[in-house]
Amino acid sequence: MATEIHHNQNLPDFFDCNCILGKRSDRREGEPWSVDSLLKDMSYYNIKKALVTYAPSKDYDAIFGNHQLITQISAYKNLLPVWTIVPPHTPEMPLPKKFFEDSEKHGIVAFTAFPILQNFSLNNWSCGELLKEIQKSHKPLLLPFSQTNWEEIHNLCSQYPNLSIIVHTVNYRQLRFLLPLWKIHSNLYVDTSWFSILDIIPFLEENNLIKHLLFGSNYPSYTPGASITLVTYANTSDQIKRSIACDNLQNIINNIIQ
Amino acid sequence: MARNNFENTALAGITLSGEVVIDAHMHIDMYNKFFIPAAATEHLIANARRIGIQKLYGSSLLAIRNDAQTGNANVMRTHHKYPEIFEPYLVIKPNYPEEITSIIEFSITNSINQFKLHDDGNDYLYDHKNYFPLYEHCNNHNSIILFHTYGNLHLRPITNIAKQFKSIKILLAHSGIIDEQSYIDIANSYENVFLETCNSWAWYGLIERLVNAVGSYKILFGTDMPFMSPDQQIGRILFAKISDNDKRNILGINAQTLFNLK
Repeated sequence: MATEIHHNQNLPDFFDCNCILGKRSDRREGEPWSVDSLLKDMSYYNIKKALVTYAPSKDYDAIFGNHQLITQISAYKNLLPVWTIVPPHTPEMPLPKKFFEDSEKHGIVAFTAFPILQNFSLNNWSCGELLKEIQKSHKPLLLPFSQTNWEEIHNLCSQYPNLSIIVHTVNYRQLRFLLPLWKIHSNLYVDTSWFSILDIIPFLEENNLIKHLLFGSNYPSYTPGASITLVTYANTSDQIKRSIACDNLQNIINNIIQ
Repeated sequence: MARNNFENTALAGITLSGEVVIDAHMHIDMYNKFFIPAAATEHLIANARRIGIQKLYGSSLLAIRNDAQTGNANVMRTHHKYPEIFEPYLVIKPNYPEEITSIIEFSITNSINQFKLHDDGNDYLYDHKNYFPLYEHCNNHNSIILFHTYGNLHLRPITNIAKQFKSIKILLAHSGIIDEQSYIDIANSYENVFLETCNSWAWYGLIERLVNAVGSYKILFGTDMPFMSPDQQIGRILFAKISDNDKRNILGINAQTLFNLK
């Protein structure tokens, strides 16, 4: 190859908002699941930090998984824990006060929910109390696109305007929904993992929407390499690339009330 | 695993220079089902050049969706406008059998030896009799056919074609998207079957598994522009944990051979 690249030559650092750790029910053969594998891959792909959800919180038991996550990653400062919520109306879920005290104690930086998979509603009559508390903490709510729909996202963004809602793994066919939603909701974000739209980054830049796109890999279902080059090869400035790679998510995390 | 030059080039977003990079699967023209911000041909070419792609093999979405003859004329116009980079695939539609002979003649007149088949909008399986005039022509001319595929639904009838028409060079679009083992099996069973990589689901380890199972000499890089960003698709190859030679084969060396570009 004619182009000679040397290490650390303006390589952007990445902060991954969409990463899952642990053994998954729908794992494809060969997909990594351990902390060691995650750390090795983060090094290979130049991902400096990641928001991490624990697979058993999704596939087995939310509260069990939440606590297991802490034992798995508490030694690693670059792995930031995400807890899974379920509505606080069944005995499995601690009362909100206790849940949020525990989450503070363990340095939880974001929450996630799997309402379709785990059979509950995110509506006010079910999760209103929890979502109000999350909004108060300024911690983001991560929602896999497969677990929601645009009508629900619109309602959540309207009811909780100070809650940052990061929708994971939105596919490349959704701009007719997203563009009108971004006109009215500054708190709605998507990640890069399946947002493989031709020239999406210059298009968002032209329309002053760059802050809404965050680097997310959907690891380990997807290789982070695809999301990385979506950013690094984009027809835009290094500053915009850094915003998507890292800064947009860092700004959300910096906003958390300590 | 330590990063080498390909991965560091990808991380820096630098144009691939000194490498053969050929996109074996892309499209021109418009699409109705979702909004694509930069679908114009000049955008597609600018995107390709920024990455370092030197050749684009493309079909017309108008041809695939509605009107094969008008769409085929569009790809020929694009080829004449950008002869150094754009090469056309011609399309036939099995639900317009009355056009097929004239499209084959059009291909002969214009010296086009590659075709794209897509069952979008029709329910004709790829071993339907209406395709056979094309298959017979392609078998006689060692032509390439790029088949749109989505797993076993498409691979079963293509297996019949691969078996019967051994001189057609069959390229399977979206290899490994689902039913991964079936793609491996058909590529290993038939010398004339090759795998193409574009896939919006960037499955972890898929490229590595395909290389290990069938060999990199049978795999070709494609982007599926304008549906997908080449920026995203190139990362699946550049970061794959395979040798540099395997990457080179996939990025362009195999396409050079298949399309007789050497």
